[in-house]
Amino acid sequence: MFRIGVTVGCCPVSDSAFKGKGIHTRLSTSVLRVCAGSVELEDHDNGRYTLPADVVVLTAGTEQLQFVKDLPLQKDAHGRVLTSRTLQCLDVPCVFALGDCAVVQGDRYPATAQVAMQQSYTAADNVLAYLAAQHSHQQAEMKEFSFFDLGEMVSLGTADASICSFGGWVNISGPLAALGRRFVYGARMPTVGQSIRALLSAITVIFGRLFQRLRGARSV
Amino acid sequence: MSSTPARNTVCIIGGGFGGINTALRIDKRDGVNTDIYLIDPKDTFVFSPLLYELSVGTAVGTEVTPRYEDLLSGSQVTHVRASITNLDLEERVCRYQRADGECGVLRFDAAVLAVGIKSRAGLIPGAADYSIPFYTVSDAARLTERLELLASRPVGELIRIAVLGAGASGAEVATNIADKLGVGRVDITVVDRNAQVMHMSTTFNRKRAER
Repeated sequence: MFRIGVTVGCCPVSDSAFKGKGIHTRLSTSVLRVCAGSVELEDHDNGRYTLPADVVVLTAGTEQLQFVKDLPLQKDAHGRVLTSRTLQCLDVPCVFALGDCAVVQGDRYPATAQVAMQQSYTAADNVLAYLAAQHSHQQAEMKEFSFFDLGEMVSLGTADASICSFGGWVNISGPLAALGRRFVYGARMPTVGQSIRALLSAITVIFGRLFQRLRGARSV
Repeated sequence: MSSTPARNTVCIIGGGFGGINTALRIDKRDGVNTDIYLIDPKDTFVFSPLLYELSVGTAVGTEVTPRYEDLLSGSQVTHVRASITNLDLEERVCRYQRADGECGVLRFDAAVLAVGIKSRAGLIPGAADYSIPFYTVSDAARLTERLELLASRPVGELIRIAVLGAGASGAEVATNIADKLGVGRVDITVVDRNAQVMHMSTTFNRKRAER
């Protein structure tokens, strides 16, 4: 039930997430059109065909808000506001930008909450350093942002998840990963009270699910 | 120069992960000398990585969408529940409008842009009309409503779901829906133009999802 893999470069074998849940994949496939009750797809082997669907959920594709599009600031090819490593907009030092709407010039990191949170500490400290310098007429002592990748956590159902951390040295999947994921998210809540609420809820849900499974297994 | 430190006004635009944490950190370090405004049209923060759980009922609203009022109650940060109508970068003026139409102006010494991005339904023909994007709390609520309607169908009638996008988000939506509706009752197809599931993710997490 619990799998903890401490591996170097390779992956421990674990039970199914997609296949075990009856989830099919159609990869290298283009979506041509979404219709009422179906989607039109196209791939190299089958050409064009229709896939019936009662619900179509769209999880791909993002764009900038109109507010950002309208701002007279320097942006990259994706429309993200360009900043220096201090997270200040190029040419406008009193305006800082962070998260999915911005990017540090020349940098590459994912559009995730983890990045935005790490940036928020740099931005807050630099806002205060900038303001202090404005009043003292001295050079501001600014911090430079660099992303520290803490790893990735993916939910794979109620009591299943996959965690890859410490550059792939620690890989965990299964119910323990599901609990770990909710715990880490709990710790990332903006306030302590909210963290505690989230942790209690996570424990209730995941242990509830495991208990259900256990009872199910016994009654078979 | 005066002996009392000058007061500063900081406008933080967008109350997501980046915005609220910037606001709380400035407050913690120098809340006494800074007027901090967090401008966001919503009245709740959204813990977006838990939206999947919210849509299938394995996480609750108080956990995923706590109110700004509660989160900011121990701080000096003021939540302005409004949309930005104009941000004048030269004059350092931020103009906003509340949901009831009331307009306001804030002069700032520094501003932080943290407004995030939005889902792009216009990319695929028909997607805006016939698909449910998965990005906001109201998206999650729409999905919940549809899933509950489908769950009330007679058992034996297969529920067919297409998830467009096989990134981490697509994998999370698909597996959580499968668990909610029950394996055997639902036929889920995840579609992506890339050759791999979660092609942006680490090898371990990708293989773990694929199996």
